[in-house]
Amino acid sequence: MDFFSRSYKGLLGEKGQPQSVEDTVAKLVDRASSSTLLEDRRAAILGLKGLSREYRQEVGEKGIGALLHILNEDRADIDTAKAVLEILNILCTPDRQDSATDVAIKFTDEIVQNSANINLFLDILQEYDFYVRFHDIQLLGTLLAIRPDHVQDCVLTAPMGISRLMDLLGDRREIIRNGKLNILWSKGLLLLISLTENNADIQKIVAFENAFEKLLEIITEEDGLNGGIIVQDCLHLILNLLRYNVSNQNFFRETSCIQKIPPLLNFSAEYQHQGFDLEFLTQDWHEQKIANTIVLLELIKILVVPNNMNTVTNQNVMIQCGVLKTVIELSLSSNAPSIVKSHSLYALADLIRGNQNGQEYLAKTVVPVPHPSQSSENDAKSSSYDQILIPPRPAVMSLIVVAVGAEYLESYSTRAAATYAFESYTFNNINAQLVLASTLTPPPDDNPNSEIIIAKPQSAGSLLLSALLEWEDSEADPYVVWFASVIFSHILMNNERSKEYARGIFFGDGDDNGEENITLLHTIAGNLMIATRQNAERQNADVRVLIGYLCTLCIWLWDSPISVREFLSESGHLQMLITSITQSSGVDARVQGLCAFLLGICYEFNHNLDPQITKSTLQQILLNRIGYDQFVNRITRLRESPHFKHASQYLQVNNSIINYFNEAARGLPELYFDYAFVEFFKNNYGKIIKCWISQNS
Amino acid sequence: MSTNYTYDYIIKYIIIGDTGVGKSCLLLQFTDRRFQPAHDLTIGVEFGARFVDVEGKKIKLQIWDTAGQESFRSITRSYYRGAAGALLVYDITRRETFDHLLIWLEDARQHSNSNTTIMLIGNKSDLESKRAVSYAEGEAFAQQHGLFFMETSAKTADNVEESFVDTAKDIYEKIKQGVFDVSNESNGIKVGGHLQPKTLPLNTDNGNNCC
Repeated sequence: MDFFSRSYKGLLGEKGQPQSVEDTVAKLVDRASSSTLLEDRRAAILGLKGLSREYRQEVGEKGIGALLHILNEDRADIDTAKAVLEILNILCTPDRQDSATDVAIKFTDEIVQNSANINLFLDILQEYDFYVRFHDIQLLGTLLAIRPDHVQDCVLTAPMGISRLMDLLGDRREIIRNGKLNILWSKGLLLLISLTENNADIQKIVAFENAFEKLLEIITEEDGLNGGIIVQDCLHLILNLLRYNVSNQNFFRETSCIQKIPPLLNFSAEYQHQGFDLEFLTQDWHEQKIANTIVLLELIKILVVPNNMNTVTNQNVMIQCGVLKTVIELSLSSNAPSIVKSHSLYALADLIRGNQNGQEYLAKTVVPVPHPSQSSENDAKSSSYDQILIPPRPAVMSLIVVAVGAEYLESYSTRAAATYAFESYTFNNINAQLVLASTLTPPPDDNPNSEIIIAKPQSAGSLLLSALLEWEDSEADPYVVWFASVIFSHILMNNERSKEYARGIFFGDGDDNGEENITLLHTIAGNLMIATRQNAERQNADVRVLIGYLCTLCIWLWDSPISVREFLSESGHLQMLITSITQSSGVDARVQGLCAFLLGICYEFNHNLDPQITKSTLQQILLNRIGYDQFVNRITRLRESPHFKHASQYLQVNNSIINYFNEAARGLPELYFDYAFVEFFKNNYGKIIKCWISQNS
Repeated sequence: MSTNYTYDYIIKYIIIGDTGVGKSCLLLQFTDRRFQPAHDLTIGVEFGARFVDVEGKKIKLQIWDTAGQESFRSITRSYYRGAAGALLVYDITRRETFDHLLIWLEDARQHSNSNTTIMLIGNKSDLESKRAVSYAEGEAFAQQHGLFFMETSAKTADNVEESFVDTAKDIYEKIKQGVFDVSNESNGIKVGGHLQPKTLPLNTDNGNNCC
């Protein structure tokens, strides 16, 4: 420090009188750039460094150009290089408050406007000295945070730029034993993460430099998802490289990286095609592992985004190499926490959506049934495996169980995800619809006196129906009915044969004691009527139940004249629709809109099969008791209602703050409409509005 | 599906040359065996892959097809160093694409590995009637600069297979002679698992990695 004090004293002038900061800075800058001796220049730089924190503006305004020049010339001198990089970093780091007008922005702009500067910093990454590299990486990170586009462009045009950065992720086995190198390594990784954000060209070059392979190797060495935050960062970087980047996705697939996913999830290869891996199903879930797993599931989803060009190819590879099986078991049989299961179920949904192989795979998969106590976190390991495993059941049935909460209650987002996965299973899959519809009839009951529901033999369909009709408890959990109605709608959607099966379902002992058998359609409509009345009286029927039932009926009656006839055969049903539509207050606008839509469907698909209620009967009712304008208004109000307009495409539970405050007391999500129904409605409401007119004219 | 296929070597290629000479079409013909007359302009860089067989060795070619437009030049340079093979393409019906070869070659020599095998390709040989660069001229240029040479047609697939495979043959020859340091992947070559003399088992036992 001798040279430091020597030169600083020298600046104080002969008589030792204090100077202004400006003068001091100017003198130091002058010495730093024009002294002949390296030692003098270095001393002046260190002097500037001492002032830079307190007098950022002065040092920056006078010195930035000189500093960059000196770095270029004197970078071989470690102390100089270190100090200059440190000063530049101080100059460009904004104070917390008021960052928009901070001088740091100005200084950053000054540096990044010349790409030679960035090239210089990239070159310096090769230096040997730890602190030089440390401050260099730090500085690049600071600049990148303020002017990402500029820095990204500069890095792109430097031919060796990315290579230098990738060199930072060198041989990890060497690095791990060296604390200092380890710090550089992690900093380099974070720098690459921000550098690859939203820049496809940089993403491709990084991938070209073997990033996938390197990163996956590191993750494996770090004990996969059981590993620490480094694993999360590596996965994050991979995610950045793949997101919206088809070329890199192809590269990822073609270099067999997809095959490395199941082992990362701790899924043993020997169970890839058959059997259950108990170790996989009962893991310890610590917080970092949860975070790691969620990023990995996100990665899977990025490769199978619905309707992307490569999705089907990627799906097929994932089905073939065991990713699908891994995800199915993680979702439906493991002791993973609810948040992991919900991400896993969304991944499962996208893995099979629009892919016949995937749908068939799911159809024939059986999964172990988790024991109820399994879903709570800590006692996972303690419960015995036998209880979890026996007996395995179809995965599709497990999806329904999770969605309607038939055995144990998962979070709403997990149940929504299970429902969405079910939608993906029936999407463009007539066979799956039919198979499920055929299971709506309950299997023969061995022991009619048994009181335990689980002990009764259940089929996927019968389980679904009991949830669908259990609306009395809806105040506590309206989503039993709501999710069940979404699932049931997807079994019926655009499939007359499924509807035919459903029309064949009836309840009651019928013939034996003279009571009338009640069909399923009438049971749903009957439930709707009672629930509507109770909802109006502010009793225990949640509006979601009404919406769920009405949407189901709309899907069921659409394009199905026989179903329409059956619905209208009970005069109370029509009366209920008219009453709901015409009430001027006290009825939810969405319910009124759905009633109007359903009435329109009854008209449009009324083929006069029942002489009692023909098309013209309905038309008279509309004109005389409701009025055409009111009818149209009801439908329009539904279409414009916020929950309808903003229905989540992937049936995601919206955890917004507003929602949190609004419904905090009950903790209910704001899911009212299934996106598939919204689409169906949007495609058809025009027709329903116009059909009355065309008949008129 | 080629995805599970094991390989003996992975070799990285780049394809360079002026815009519109048919680089993407050559790649498509090679990887998918089809021709797409109205191919979109390549933006930045695109990736393709295929297996070839050289002397009984399974070689996976990873090919980066670069944009020919000047504005992408600075980006595509980043790919030179990591490639073991380069296909330098011109269009035999457009003289200027031939005239620009020197610029491309300088660029490649400056930024790539000195061992990179470069194959000069005169594409669109099906358009004989519009030819503007003779075969002899192409051949002479290649000889002068120590390049391999071939005329191809991405449309009829003529010589497309050969151009990629012959480049691979030359690289394989260099590997056998020990010209490439195959332990350093940044040279554009990766050796398959079973050919590597000493490797640490990576994915075999996930159960207990204790250290």
